[in-house]
Amino acid sequence: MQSQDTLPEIRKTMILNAPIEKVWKAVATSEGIGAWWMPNTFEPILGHQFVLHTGQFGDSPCKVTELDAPNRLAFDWDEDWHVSFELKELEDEKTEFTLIHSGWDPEKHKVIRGIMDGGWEKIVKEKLPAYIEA
Amino acid sequence: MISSPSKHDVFQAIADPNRRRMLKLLADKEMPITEITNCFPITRTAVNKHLHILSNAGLVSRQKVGRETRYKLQLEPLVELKQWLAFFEHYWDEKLSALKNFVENNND
Repeated sequence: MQSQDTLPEIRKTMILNAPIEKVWKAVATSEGIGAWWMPNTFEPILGHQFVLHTGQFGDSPCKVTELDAPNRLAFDWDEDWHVSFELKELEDEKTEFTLIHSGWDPEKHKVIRGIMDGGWEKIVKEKLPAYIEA
Repeated sequence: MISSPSKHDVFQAIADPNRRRMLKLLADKEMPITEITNCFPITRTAVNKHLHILSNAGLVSRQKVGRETRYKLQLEPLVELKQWLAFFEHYWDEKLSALKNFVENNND
């Protein structure tokens, strides 16, 4: 258990049966990100400011903070969050993919703004309770 | 899961931009309602209403100091935000499964 005032980052790793170039194209191009995540104005340029169109929840401003093709992409998401995609080439044309979603900092209360100003009210008010209660 | 006796849940309480601003103000220091009202373009009655909701959610506490009532931020309910993290865990599981499907089945 973490202490009450630090929230851990979300970290997820999976092995993909696809070569690293293909995975990179899926996670570091506007079309790719749009296909599995959300429509967006992403461009693979360091410092590029883009928008994730979260549909009914509004647009989320983002900014590319790290870009190292084909291994690493990181961007700020809304005011507080930070998302990283890490790719590692494996044998047999496989790729290890890691997602890190950090920036959960209730101590500074930024998380409240980060969460809610991103237009996530609906998720929090409807989907979260539904998920917890399911 | 923490069961709280709150009339308003913490998510509802922070869903309003004015209330989020109030929490931010109170994060820095305790304040009486007059001082809080000065920071907002809304009436004291409206501010009072918002504070009432925050207080019901357990996010602020009231304390009498002399003749004035001071409002103070309470962190404990924010632990509920951890559940929000659980929501995101689930969210990413779904998204990453979509990614897996996309890269493994989409042949250029």
